[in-house]
Amino acid sequence: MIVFLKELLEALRDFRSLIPSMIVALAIGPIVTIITPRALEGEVKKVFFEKYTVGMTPADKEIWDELFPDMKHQEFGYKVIAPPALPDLKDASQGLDIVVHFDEPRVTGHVMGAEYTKAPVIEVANDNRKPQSQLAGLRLGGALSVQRELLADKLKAEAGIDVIRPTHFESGVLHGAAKWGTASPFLRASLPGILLFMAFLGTIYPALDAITGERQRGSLELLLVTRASRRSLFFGKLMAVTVCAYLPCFVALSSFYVCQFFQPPLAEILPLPFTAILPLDCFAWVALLILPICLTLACAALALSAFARSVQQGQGYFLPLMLITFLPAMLVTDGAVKLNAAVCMTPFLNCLALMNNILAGDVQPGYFILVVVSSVVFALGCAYVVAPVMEREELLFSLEESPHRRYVTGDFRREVFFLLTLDFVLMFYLSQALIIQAKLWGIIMTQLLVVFLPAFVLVKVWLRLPITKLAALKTPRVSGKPSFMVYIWAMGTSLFSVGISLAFLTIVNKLLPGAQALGEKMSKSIGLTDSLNTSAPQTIAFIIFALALMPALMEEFLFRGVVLGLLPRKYSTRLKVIVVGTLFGLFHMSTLRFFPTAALGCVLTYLRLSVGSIYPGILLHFCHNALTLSLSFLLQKQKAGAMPEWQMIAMMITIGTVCLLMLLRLKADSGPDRGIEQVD
Amino acid sequence: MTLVVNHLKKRFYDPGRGEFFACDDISFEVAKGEIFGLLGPNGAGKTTTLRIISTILKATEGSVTVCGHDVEKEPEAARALIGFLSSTSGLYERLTVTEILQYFGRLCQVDEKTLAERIKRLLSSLQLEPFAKARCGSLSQGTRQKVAIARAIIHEPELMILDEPANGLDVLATQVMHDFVRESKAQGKSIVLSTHIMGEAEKLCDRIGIINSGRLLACGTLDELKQQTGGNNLEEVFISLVQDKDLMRS
Repeated sequence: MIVFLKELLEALRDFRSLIPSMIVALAIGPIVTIITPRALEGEVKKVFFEKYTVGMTPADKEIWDELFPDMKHQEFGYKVIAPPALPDLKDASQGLDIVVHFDEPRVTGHVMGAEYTKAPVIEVANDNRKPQSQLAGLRLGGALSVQRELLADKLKAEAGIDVIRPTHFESGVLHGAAKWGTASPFLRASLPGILLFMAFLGTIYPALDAITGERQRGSLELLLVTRASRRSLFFGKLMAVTVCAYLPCFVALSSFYVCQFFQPPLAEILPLPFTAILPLDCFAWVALLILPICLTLACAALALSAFARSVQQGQGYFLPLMLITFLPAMLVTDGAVKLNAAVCMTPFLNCLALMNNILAGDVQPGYFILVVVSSVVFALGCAYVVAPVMEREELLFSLEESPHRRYVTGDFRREVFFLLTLDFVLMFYLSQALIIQAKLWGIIMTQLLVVFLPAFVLVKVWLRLPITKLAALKTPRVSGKPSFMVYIWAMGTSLFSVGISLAFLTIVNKLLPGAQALGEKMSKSIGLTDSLNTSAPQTIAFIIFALALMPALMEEFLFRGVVLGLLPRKYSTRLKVIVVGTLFGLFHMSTLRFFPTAALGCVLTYLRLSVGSIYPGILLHFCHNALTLSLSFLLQKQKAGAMPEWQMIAMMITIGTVCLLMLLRLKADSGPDRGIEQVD
Repeated sequence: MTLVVNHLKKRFYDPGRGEFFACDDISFEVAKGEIFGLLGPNGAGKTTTLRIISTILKATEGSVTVCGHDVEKEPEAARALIGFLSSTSGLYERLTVTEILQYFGRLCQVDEKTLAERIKRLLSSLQLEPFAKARCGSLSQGTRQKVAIARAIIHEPELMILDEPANGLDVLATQVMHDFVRESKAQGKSIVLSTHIMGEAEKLCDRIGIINSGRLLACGTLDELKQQTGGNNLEEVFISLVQDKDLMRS
């Protein structure tokens, strides 16, 4: 409480950040719900009542009158001018907003005794560089649609001919009336994003000032010499930043609530888009809900602040945080997220999804409590992790330990975390784009740009460590001697890993019928299905290169080379195997493939630790991939989506197990962990 | 002994310089009611030593005990006995002098009544009364330093660690600070102060440790140091010790 009051007092006295955020919070309601509709109303009226200069060929006023029999051109606002030749009309210097050209004469005839007019083909030319010309085009298009409707009515009335018209929609509500008040669609679409923005506005500076600022001013070290615990210091700061985030959010929400009573009666042409309806119960629920949003945001912001060495560096961290938090806001307003227990426990997404429901009048107190509880748990977890970071020497006094010494002690967890975060983000965004655009080439580029390059740059440029020793790029040794039998057993072990994967997928396919369809869809999207259907040797070689060799080389370098090499040496072999195997499984971003991939990752890590080289692992990985592809190719020839027989799987597992046991025996000869070498 | 520093080592790394010891096997003791001065040029390792004693840096090797509490094993017990004045004043610009003293007093778990009395007494003894309600952002460098001293000792610690306490003070403010240090000694407080000003060390300290390049070159009373080096004053003692060290190195 002592820290909280002091931090709050300091933040409230910081007018540089407080005043702008409060001004924005106060102004955003009136701007969005009163001033903008007023301004737009004027613009819309202008569109509807502005007179445009229309050039028309042929310059026949009668055509115009006949085209719009119920709306004479003078009343409609068009001024008819006989223009020169059509091509010249596109020139803006003619002073015309739009040009209409009837390219064939009117044809009249009789259908079942009634006279009708065949509408002429009309060419409309406008200048897209000029808004006035664009608006004229839009308005003429609208007028012609009205005219089409009138002609259709006339045809039906006079000749009994019914033309096809667009279907009319009647809107209605599927479920019963909401128990709670419902906000207008405009607020439902915009309020989550606006409130999140306001929370950001209130959070950034106080969060940066609370830890990074104190560190830079030299006051944090003095705080750390007091008897106050690190966690109490962190919680005090957290509460203060939460309040700082909450204030502008609440003021902005209130300004929307108040503005609904002062909204001007809008013209009929603009009734819906900016209507701010926010019932009191809706307002109250949202006002409560923004508290967990602010708490979560304050936690994340303080965590970033704790890791930043300077305020400038901290500011740089906030852009990714904004991207991470606004993405859920977009998903929620887009309707892509449905509220359930899992969503309720996902930071940021939970509050925004719940707000979306509350604004739609669907308040579920159970979910509300779950969201609040999960936000508090997130805050506690954050405090547990971040509070000790405040006193880390390297951040407090900008100290660093030599990379050489860190390599010897093997404490590179921070860099591994950074590398894998970067890789996962790149996999999610860049890799998807590359694969969609360039299919198999995209996979090759992914392996090079996402898997290999960041790891190589980290080790070689940033940490300046000996890459060959770190990644164990050397001949495998058993009992101190080079052993090439390792390669044979590694190749054989691929039968085991493929057999286990196939068995797992067969079971999954039986339990989850959709899984197989999903896999086939994925194969089709990268062009694999089509490629497998061709028997051209070059194509198959290319597939093997892209999907078997490249991943084997690059992923082994990343996981069994760099990640394993940078893990703390104090980790036991078992822990290293589990950590690297799990990360390898997660990296493939597939729920269905997680277990077989993680298991393969564990085997590969164990192999690397046993023989002190990544080469046998590369061979095993390559054989695993190539064998899987070959089986897919052979089975594809038989039947799309076919799975191998159980007997075949059992045989593969049996032979593979023998080879695996031979590898384990090698390990027994060589002793644990001799794969990791130290630099001295 | 209030403070025992035993074979203290702290290794740093600088990309340009490589690894080096900011504190290299430093040992000294400070008795109750004693003023111990760490005298050395900038970058000698004074601040690093004081930060390790204050529990905010961890020693690479060696140990520090404050009134019998090991700073690494029992940091919270040690912190309760330490008052630390850093070389940067580290004040909160938007808080008033009284608010800062209240804040640190409460963090150090001083009860409200005692805290009010101590604040009054400190404001008076450091001549800060006119600035009691002024925000720290508006204070002069000298006044800020006095506020920083008051904040460091608000909980009346057994051991005061003052890192360059006369930094930025004018002659009068320095005199006030010196009087305050002597007064604290009279109350039985132990004081470790770092300085690069010879006169200050000569005037205030009961014993002096001369430190350079992370090593404690000599330690003793002024007379002992003069005897040891043959110098007539502290400046000569200091130069003699530092040059000897450089000669040994070359």
